[in-house]
Amino acid sequence: MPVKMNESLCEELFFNRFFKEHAKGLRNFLLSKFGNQDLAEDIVQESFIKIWNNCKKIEVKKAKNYLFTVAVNMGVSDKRHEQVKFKHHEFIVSTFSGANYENPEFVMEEQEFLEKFKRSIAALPDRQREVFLLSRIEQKTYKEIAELSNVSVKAIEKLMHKALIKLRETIGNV
Amino acid sequence: MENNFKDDTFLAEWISDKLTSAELEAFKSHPDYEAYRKIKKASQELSFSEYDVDKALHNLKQNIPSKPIAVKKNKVKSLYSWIGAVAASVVLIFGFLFFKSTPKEYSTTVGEQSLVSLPDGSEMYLNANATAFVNKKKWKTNRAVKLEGEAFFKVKKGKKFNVITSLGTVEVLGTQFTVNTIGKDVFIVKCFEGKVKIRANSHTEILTKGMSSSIINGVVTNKQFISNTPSWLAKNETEFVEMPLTHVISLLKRHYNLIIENEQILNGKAAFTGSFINNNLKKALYAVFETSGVSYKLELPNKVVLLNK
Repeated sequence: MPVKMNESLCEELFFNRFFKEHAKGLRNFLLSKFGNQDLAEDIVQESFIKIWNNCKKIEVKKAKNYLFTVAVNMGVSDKRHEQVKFKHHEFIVSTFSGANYENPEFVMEEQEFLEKFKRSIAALPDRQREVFLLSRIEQKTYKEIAELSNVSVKAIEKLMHKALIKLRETIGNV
Repeated sequence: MENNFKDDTFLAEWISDKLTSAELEAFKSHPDYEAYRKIKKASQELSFSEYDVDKALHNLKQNIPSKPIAVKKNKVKSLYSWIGAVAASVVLIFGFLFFKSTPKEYSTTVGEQSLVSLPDGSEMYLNANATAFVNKKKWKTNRAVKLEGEAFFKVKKGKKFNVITSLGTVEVLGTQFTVNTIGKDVFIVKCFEGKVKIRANSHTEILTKGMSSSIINGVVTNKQFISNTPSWLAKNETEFVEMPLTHVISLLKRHYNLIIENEQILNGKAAFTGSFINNNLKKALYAVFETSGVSYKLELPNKVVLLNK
């Protein structure tokens, strides 16, 4: 696209836009990956500070990749997530509202099911859970997820397939 | 548990709607189909907890090591020196000159926004799915932008600045404003600073700070507002006051790749007042349709079916 702007991450306005464009996606990506909201949000802050401090060295085109790589490295090296990993799944929230349904019993059942579902997601093995959340909640394509973690699309699809079988097993008969 | 799927990526294909219809039909008779269908449906009812991007940015700024940003400061300074230096504006004949030499095209795709710096330092922020033509060569004698869609302009003082749309022209006497056209019948101008003059067919009016004018199918409505920046720049939200739902949908489509079925049921529904977020489809749909009492179903990632109810 032939648009010229002050495309420098050292330019505050441009940096702000860059932040607004990617902060939420990064945070949700880190949530999927590490399952710890405080950790995810701290890493978002730290990664952007890193971008700001290195703004002259980072090419705008590569900034997003750089951001995600830095963030994942921080998360992996951080010990915090190992202790609390996915014990708390409150960061997954249900948007289901009973408003469209007249039968209160149905609404209750549905909400109970969603709670159980959330627990089952939390219980998935790390990689499966990450793929499942990125695909279903963040609405990323398998290709996008594959690019984020540098593996083949096929590998992501296998993980998703396994995640679904596992979920179906833990949820039991419905 | 017996799984017997055709291969080890089958469910991944199914949940992202990639199966052929024959494969899907066959899967429907699988003993576990109902359970999987329920999982798929439930996964559409989940989202991540709220994240306030503006607050996060604010917090970040508190923690950021202070660093001189030369570019930014110079910019502010030069704006004022401009204001001091240039006082009068000159009337120009723009139309003919403007279209004669080839203007440069700037456009944004669905969901995208961008900032265009104009030759004299004026700025144009294009909202999603907008197109603007700028003739940079003629800029010195003719500051004119031809626009389709929505843009916010911060105009440096100087010669007259015109925004030309198919529905009317906005002539700038001062500095900050948005212009938005939707299709062939909605023309909205909001003035955030200074003064602008609108010409649409036989209608002429001058807006000052905090005034907006909507011309929908030829009917002019004037409103007051207090914000200093358009909501789509400040909050990444699209705001409306009494906007017919069909136009609200046109604007949804600027931010999301959407297919909407059964749109005709919106005829006769009350106009929409409120806002939707520009980067979360589920929430945006909820905000628009739920408050308007329209039932809908999000089928594919981007197909919405409106329900008669």
